[in-house]
Amino acid sequence: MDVAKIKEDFPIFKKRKIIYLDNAASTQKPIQVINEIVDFYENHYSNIHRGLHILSQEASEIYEESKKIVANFINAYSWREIIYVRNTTEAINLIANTLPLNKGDKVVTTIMEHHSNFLPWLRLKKLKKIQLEIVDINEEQELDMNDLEKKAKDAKVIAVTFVSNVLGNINDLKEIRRIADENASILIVDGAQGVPHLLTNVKRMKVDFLAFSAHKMLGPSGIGILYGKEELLEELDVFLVGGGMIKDVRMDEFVPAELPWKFEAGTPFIEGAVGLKAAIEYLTTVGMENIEKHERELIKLLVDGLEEQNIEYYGSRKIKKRSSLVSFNIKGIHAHDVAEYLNYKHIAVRSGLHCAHPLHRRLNIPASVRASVYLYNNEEDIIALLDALKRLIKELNI
Amino acid sequence: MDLIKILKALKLIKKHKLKDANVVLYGSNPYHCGDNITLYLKIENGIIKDASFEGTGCNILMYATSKFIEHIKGKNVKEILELSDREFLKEIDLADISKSRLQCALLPLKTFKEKLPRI
Ligand SMILES: Cc1ncc(COP(=O)(O)O)c(C=O)c1O
Repeated sequence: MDVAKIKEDFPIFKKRKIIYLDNAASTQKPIQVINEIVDFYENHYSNIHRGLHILSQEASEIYEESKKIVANFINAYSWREIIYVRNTTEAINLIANTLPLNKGDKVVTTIMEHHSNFLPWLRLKKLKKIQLEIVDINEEQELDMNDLEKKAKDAKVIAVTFVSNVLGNINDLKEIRRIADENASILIVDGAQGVPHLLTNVKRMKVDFLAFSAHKMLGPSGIGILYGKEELLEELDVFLVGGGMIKDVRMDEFVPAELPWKFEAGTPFIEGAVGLKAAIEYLTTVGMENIEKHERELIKLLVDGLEEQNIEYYGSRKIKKRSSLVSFNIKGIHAHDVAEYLNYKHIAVRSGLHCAHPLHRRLNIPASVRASVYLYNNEEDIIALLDALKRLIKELNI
Repeated sequence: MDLIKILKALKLIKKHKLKDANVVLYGSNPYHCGDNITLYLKIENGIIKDASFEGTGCNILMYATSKFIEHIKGKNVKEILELSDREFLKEIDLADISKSRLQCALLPLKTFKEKLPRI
């Protein structure tokens, strides 16, 4: 994997002097993605759903082609299982709002979830009086599988993140699937931090629903993906209603369209689908295994450097269980101040609670600094970050 | 703004509760921040006789709040209510603070203006 060559593909790195380590929030876009969107606008743009004119036919085909590429990327059974929404958050809201859950039904989620896989369930607790169980982390700051096993008893739904956006841990989805099977639970996976960095195979992982966002994997912001097993999607009620999602409408009733259109009301983000397609083609060309390996090397360098400086960081100590990000804190300096100092040094990281308030409370920290890598980052980026932290600590004499 | 200077100045800041405070104001920056401060004020006849603060949060917030406390002591409440954001930032040497940190620096003034019971 030639990182220097990859970096060349990203115009922003030629135009701006910045070490970009905020990839968990969103990633930069390669020229291939930018060009494909421009080409679509210049040569093929129209609304989809098979208008009879040539442009609409082309746009419809391109839109469907995008879904086929996504289906292939995660090894779905069919492109009809790929629903386009705005982002991960909307995808999870869609499932939470359409699953037939009733009073007393048990939903299990975890303390390490991003709010987008937490609030939809928390709200159902109020609205439908579901029973919500929240699985804890253990002393290793990994998901407590014993706690999960206990709490999952007779659960209707287990909703868990693939990779924690604060701890950086990769959850053991195989074991979680086993527990879900024992209880005949539906398994919903928040793939926002997992799918962009790890080879994802929904057949092998046997997830029932998977949500992720294009903007975290080189694609446009504003388009997200909900994968669902066809037979489950068929059973779900419709979500948003209106144009585009129906087969027929009469004065007093409507018949929803076939999958995937049943869940896509209104004109979708067509050029977003085009950009997503190009992004996945880019990632596939580089190879997800290569990306994963490269990122793990960078993360190892980073955690080793943090350990050497006695900087507290969070999540699993086992490098094999970690993905592309590390959150940390320097004693005596608030995360925001660290991030601002790094900004002066042209290093972009994120500070705050990363939409994970319950987890920060659980870790008993007011905030954290998060550095996250992607395929275009290199060792020099990590060394620059570690050097800047060293200098900050030295200057403040703490 | 010299971040390092501010961070260093922090070591000298003393947070404490004012025992004879007659007004206590709590302010927080919600969402991504979680920062919060409590202002303790002793106000007599519209004059701020004494003030102190406690709180947790980023160092800009702590610095701005300690400067705010320093600034308001002995002043008329009305005078502080009329203080503009820009004047305050200038007063505490943070006129060039970045946009993303504005809410940290302005929290003490905002808390004072919004939470002080109108008499
Ligand atoms: C684990 C996780 N889930 C969900 C989200 C939400 O993604 P989006 O803002 O694209 O809906 C994020 C990203 O911030 C995330 O890291």
